[in-house]
Amino acid sequence: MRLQTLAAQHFRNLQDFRIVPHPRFNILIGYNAQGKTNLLEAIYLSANLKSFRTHQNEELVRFGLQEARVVAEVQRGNDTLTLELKLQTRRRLVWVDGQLTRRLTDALGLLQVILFAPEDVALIKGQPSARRSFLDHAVFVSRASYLSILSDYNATLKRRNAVLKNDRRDAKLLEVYSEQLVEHGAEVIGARLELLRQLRPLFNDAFRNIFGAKLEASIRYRASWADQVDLDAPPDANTLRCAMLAAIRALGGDELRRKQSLVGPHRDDLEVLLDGTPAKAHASQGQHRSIVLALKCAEILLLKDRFGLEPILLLDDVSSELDSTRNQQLFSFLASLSGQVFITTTAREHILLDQDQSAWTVHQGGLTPAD
Amino acid sequence: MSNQTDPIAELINLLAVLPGVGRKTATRFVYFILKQDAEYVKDLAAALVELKEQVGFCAHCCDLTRESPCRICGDERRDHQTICVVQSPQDVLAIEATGEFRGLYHVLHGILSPLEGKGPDDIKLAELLARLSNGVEEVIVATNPSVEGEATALYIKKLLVPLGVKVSRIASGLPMGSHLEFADKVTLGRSIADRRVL
Repeated sequence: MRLQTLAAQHFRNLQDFRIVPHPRFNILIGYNAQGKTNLLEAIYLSANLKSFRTHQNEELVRFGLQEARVVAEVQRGNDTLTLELKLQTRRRLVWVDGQLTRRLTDALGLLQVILFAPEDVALIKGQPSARRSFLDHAVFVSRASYLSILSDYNATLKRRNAVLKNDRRDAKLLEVYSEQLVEHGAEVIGARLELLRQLRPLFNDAFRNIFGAKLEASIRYRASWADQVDLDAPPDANTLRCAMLAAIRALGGDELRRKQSLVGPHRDDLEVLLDGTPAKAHASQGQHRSIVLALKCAEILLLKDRFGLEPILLLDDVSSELDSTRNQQLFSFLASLSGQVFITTTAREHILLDQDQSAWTVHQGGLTPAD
Repeated sequence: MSNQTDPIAELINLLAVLPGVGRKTATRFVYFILKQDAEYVKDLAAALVELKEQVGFCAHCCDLTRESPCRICGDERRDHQTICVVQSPQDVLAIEATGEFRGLYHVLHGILSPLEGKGPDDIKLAELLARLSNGVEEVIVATNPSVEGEATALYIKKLLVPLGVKVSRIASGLPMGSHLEFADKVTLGRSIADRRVL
């Protein structure tokens, strides 16, 4: 999968542009705050129809204007398709090959990208919510229908919490929402566990082979409700439902006192172990980075395996976060792939490539070919 | 002047609260009405008053009707052992238009909505329970296939099953005459999950 052309109008601070990216490596060089990440954001939006930086359309449209437009010509295997995205203050519209889609979700998954941003380096040490997002996004990229599974779960969770907050609470209604929570929750967890099952061997390989680590790394799905269930051998939906429901019942009045749902995928976490010891507390700075890089690499390899197409990779100033050894390892992994990559950097010398590349300088929102 | 309101502004305010009508449309309505002859305006006013005076809940199904029991509940030829539960009177019209259903209805006038603070006492559930003594065998829950529609259906199931009533749920899936390739993913996924044996 690759972008044949990318064009945007009125998008953030970028001057209107149309570029023909290189099928392999595309380097965007510039000082901070010149617009490099905005270009990655335009690509990310074409794939996910939402930004990784904001939920507000206004921020995506150049100041003082009504609407921004991003057009991407995508090659998928032997097919080509055109994705056109219009961002207005209150809505987003997508045309696929000139046809306006009735629902945004119809255009999801046509383009697959994986983003690696500097914040990702803190994935293992940071908040559980960031690890859940990583996991959910990885599931979603390989299975677009996951979005509706997740949104049904979140809608149910919100309503169950409302029931718990209500002082004239109806016990039967709470029971109904507990069952619904468990029903949708088991689907969410089932999808996450299935993804982890596929990701695990790829992650182990990447961690050892790409980053030359000597330790055995493993990923575990952590759930407070699952002390009786082996999550590594993915259990069936019914086992998951029963375990969650039993955990809710075992909490007794705790949920009523705290007025929120305490059991379910919204509280679960991902844990990485190095030789059986939790990496979060014990791994070195360098090991953390290798783990995160290995997770992202595994995600790419999984998608390649699943769809026969490599996703487009967006690397936002990642090299500045890596020491020179890991930076070298990263680039030799990238060179071993065959997909399209967009890399932003403040310093060209971080980019360890000598062929198959196009470069642009980004200065005050303007793109000019470098070299 | 202080206790007198401008009749134009007054009617705009009254019409602007109607669903789907904003101030602009309300203003168009007012000027349209002003242009009509006195006869039409009197008929319109009388119809509005009559609507409120004569239409009320059916004592059985809670549908809105002029007479109680309503036309459907009073029809001896219909199947009085099957009740289809719906959210609103419009849903009765929609199902009646199919001609597929010969049982009775029950209109909840809402749905269990924790976010809006609507609980079991805020919809016509007690009225549904009261009807079950008359030999009702099956209740079909035809609430919308949304999170709250499903929860309401399950709630009704929990209420009725212990009373020995069969509770069923309308199927959801693909519209007839449509093409699979154009169906949205959720509907298509669900129609595969809820497939039936041929």
